[in-house]
Amino acid sequence: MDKKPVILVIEDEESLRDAIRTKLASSGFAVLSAMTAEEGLEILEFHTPDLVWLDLLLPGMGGFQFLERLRKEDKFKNLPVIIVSVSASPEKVQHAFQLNVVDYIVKSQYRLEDIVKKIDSLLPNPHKK
Amino acid sequence: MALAARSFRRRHAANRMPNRLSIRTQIALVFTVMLFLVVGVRVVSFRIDSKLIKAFEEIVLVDTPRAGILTELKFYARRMEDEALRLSGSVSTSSISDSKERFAVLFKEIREAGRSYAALSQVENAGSFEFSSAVRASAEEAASLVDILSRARSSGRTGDPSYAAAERQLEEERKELLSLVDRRLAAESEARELKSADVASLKRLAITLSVSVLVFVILSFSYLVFFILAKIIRSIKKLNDAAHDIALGDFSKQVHISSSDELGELALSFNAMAKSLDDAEKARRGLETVASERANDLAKKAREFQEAEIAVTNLLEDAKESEENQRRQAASLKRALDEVHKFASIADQERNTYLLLVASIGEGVIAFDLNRKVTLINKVTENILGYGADELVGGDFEARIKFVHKGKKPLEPEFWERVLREKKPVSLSSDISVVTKGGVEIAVSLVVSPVIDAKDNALRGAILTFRDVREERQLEETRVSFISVASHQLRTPLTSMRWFSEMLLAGDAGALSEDQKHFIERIYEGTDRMINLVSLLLQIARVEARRLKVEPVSTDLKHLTNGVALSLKANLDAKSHKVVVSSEPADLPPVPIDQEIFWQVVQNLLSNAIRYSPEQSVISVSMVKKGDLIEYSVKDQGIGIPDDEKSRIFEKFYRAENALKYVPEGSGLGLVLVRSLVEGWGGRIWFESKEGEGTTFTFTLPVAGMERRQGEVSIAI
Repeated sequence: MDKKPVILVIEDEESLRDAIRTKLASSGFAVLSAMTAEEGLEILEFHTPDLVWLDLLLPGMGGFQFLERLRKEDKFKNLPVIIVSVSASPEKVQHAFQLNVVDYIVKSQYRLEDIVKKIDSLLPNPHKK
Repeated sequence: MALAARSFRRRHAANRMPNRLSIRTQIALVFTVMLFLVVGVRVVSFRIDSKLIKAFEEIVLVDTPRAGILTELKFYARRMEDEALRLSGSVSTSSISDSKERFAVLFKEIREAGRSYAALSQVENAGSFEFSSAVRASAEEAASLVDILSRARSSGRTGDPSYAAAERQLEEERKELLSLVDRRLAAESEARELKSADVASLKRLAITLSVSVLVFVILSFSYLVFFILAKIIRSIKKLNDAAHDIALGDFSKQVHISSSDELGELALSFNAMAKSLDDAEKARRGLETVASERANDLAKKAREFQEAEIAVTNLLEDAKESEENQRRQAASLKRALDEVHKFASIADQERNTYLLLVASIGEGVIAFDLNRKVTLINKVTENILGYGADELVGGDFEARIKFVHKGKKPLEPEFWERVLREKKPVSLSSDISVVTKGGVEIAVSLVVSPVIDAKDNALRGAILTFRDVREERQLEETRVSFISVASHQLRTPLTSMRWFSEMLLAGDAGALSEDQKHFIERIYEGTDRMINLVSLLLQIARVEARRLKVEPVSTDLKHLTNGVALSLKANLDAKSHKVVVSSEPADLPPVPIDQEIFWQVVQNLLSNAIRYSPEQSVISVSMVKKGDLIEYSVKDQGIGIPDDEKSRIFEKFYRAENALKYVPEGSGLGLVLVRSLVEGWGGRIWFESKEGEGTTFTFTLPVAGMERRQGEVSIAI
């Protein structure tokens, strides 16, 4: 049996994390979640996910700082990351793509379902429902 | 003056030629002739008319009745025949007497007819009298014959040859009567023909007369206009031109009118006048020359006189001087001393006043000279910096006073040099702080101005004023962070609500009943509305806090517009809308604009156009270059804005009645943002609308584009 693809979700808002987890799970993904970037880094020490769902506005270490740390290590240089943030500022978008993200999604513009569909198209998932 | 006029007329009287017709006479002649003609024609035609009337009267009153009588007579003749026949067939006494009676009546009638005929004819026609008598005679004859015949019949003597003869004679009489009448008819017919010929020729005459008169009148008027009037007008024009020249000062122009009537005279008078004016002008100029020469002479004499006077006065003065001198010197010395005392005390007072003023200024003041040595400081400076006046004044400016810009080194000497060199004030209000004696950095805002001596415009030094802006900065920081925190805090729960509603609707928590589905859809819509509202509020807050940065980039406006339309494709297709983009000129050059900001404005206006228009409408976007501005318009065929609500359209949260009904979920903030953005780049926005027909929003953009602006954030949320 093929393993389910694993998504690491880094999002500090409880309710949002809840929604994302539920939706991803029901779409056939396995979910690891972290409240802060530091927690995310800790998780990464033990397990490499197939994709990282990253929020930018995080307490403590910010989203970009996390991403920069990630890209420094060879292991994670090409780890797919999608940023899901409230901000639509062009500088942030530019900065994100400079750090080699796969996509930059503005929360208020997208339905959860559509974000999940995007992730679906990026990863092979035999457990799709 | 009067003498001159009289001699003038005498001189020019010889030029008059009384035997040629003056214009007045010509006109009078023409009119007189025309008058006579018209009167003459009237008289003649009057006569013709009378003749015509007479002829018609005759026909009506005489000819026609007469013809009628003749016809009657023929009829009577017929009746005679009938009666004769009846008589020859009557046997009884009663029928014979009846017949006789009838004959009597008949003959009476015939005689009456004859008399009437004569009465109508009057004097004019002798033949009619003859006819009348003949008819009456015939009737008499016939009557007596009838008498004989009836008597014969009554007595039964019809076999007599005299009876047959009488019968034959009666018949003869009748035939005679008939032929009389016929001859008369023929004669009348002839007469009538002659009369009509007469009438016809009279009519022709009348027509000829009218036409000739008309032609003559036209000719006369033509003569009047073309010859006389035209001549007058030409002459007036010549005079006018000459008068114009004279008005401009050229008196040499002469008017040439060759005719010898009033116009010719006028021309001569005019020319004489011009010559007089010319002479007068020359005389005046001569006089002027003479007058100015005299004035010069006088001036020279006056000067000579003055010089002599001065020489004499000098001599007199010299004499008095030596005596006065000593006395005066003593007095003036005393006065000078007094003045000096007075000025000294005023200066002292002023100095004190100024020092007091400077000390009281609520901002820090530091003055330094060209060598950058501190010459003056005030109390506030002492308080802020922590140094005493004695520690700073007289020392080098940079020794103790350190201003720091953007956390870097102290302000470079170049900054001070610039002030001194350009002799203009320079101000720095952001990222500047000063270091106190204790080493603390305090945020300040400062202005340095050159001190220039008003008398010789020379630079004497500079004066610096600064103030503590820590509180202001704090407030700014608070406001800034409030906006960004509000942004995050508001939108996170909204996103959560949205996503959960979405999952419920997708059935991720189990199947929903119709009611449950309906309720959750309402929640979802409400959340969407709130998200839009919050985004708009935040954008508006950013614009109003003047934190917006503007980064202009050369952009093709049509291209950007098409981009916005494309991003709204789903909405356009849903209502089968069509967007038409055009520009004037067709190849509008690119304009330097901040694309985010312009995108916001266009997107807002297009969204509105889509939302408030019915299906299958056309939305027209046009860009027109007008001088140094571009007018950008978005025109829709939607519900329009009612007249009584137009003034409130740009108010925060305001929605027009019809808009509320048509699109209940609108926020009423879109146009507020659009206007703030447009006015931010110095543009103007307005609209034209008719309820039920559509609206056109237009804003202006300078052809030179938007100005670059430093700012903390962009308009994109």
